[in-house]
Amino acid sequence: MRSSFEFKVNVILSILRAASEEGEDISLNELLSSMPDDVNKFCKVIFKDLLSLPPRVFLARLMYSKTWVRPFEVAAKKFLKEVLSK
Amino acid sequence: MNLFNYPRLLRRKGEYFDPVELAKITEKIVCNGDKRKYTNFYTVGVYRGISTGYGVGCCLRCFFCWSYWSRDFPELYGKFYSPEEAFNLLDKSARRAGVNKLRISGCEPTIGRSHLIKLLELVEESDYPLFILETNGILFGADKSYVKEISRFTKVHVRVSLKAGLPDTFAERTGARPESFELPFKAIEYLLDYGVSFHVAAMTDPRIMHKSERLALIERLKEIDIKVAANLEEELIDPYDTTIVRMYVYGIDPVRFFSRRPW
Repeated sequence: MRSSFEFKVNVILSILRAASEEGEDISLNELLSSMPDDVNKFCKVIFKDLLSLPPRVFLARLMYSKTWVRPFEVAAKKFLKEVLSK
Repeated sequence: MNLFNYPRLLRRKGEYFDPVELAKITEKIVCNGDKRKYTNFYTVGVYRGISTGYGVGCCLRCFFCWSYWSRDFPELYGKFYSPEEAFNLLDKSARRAGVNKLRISGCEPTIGRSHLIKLLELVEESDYPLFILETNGILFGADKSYVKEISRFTKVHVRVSLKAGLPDTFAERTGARPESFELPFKAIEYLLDYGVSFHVAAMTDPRIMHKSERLALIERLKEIDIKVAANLEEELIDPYDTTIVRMYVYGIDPVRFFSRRPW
């Protein structure tokens, strides 16, 4: 079973990847619907008040969250590796 | 620089201007006390529907800019609206379209500080959950106290739009002197310092930006904060009518340019 930290990294990485594909014209709620079931269900519960936000606005808010800052840093490192290899 | 040699459409090998000074001169044209010039209020589909005040006046002259001619000839366009009038028209448009997000677009909204602050106070008191402040970061980078003032608003999300990854290309694309390249990066640091909700967008269209410059831009953001770099929104140039003319005047053939695929 994956650790909670690893799962959070995976959640952010999935949102970063999807946001870069989908842009700003969809809400976080719509973006999550296209994601793996575990990520979708988890996020729709814990981020229920933020679902109407554009994905990058949501990520900006998450950037300052004490419980998410470290997983965000790890996900950011992985994501930038992908972006810069293109 | 004064109203007689006010920079209009960007030309290659023109004299570079100080964007902070241009902002001050532009403010004299587009602001009157707390009132600011707008050309229209309407709702558009971006951000899943957002009520938009189309403002007048900017302090950069990007050749790829899509905004209307009100950027280049602010004297000729728009009417003055108080913060209350602007908010009421944003509200009216949002209600009619059934959307709950607001923004100012088509201009540099940080020009006219007292208008913006009063408008944001009205947004803060309202039921609207989100106001997107799209800026080039010049005035925020030039004055940390402006960012501090913005940081008290909980509904504001700032989108800082970068134009280049190097000082020389910044000057070539915007008309602003190369030293002012640093200002939007300063703005990003200040936004982080004050915990403001924001993300960065950048015009990284490979038709105007070399791979090495894109890399330099992303590396620069990484040095500031890796999370900000990862949340970067990369932009492409679209063939709006105004963009086509601005490119032509600048010396780029828009027909050849837009016949090339960006990726």
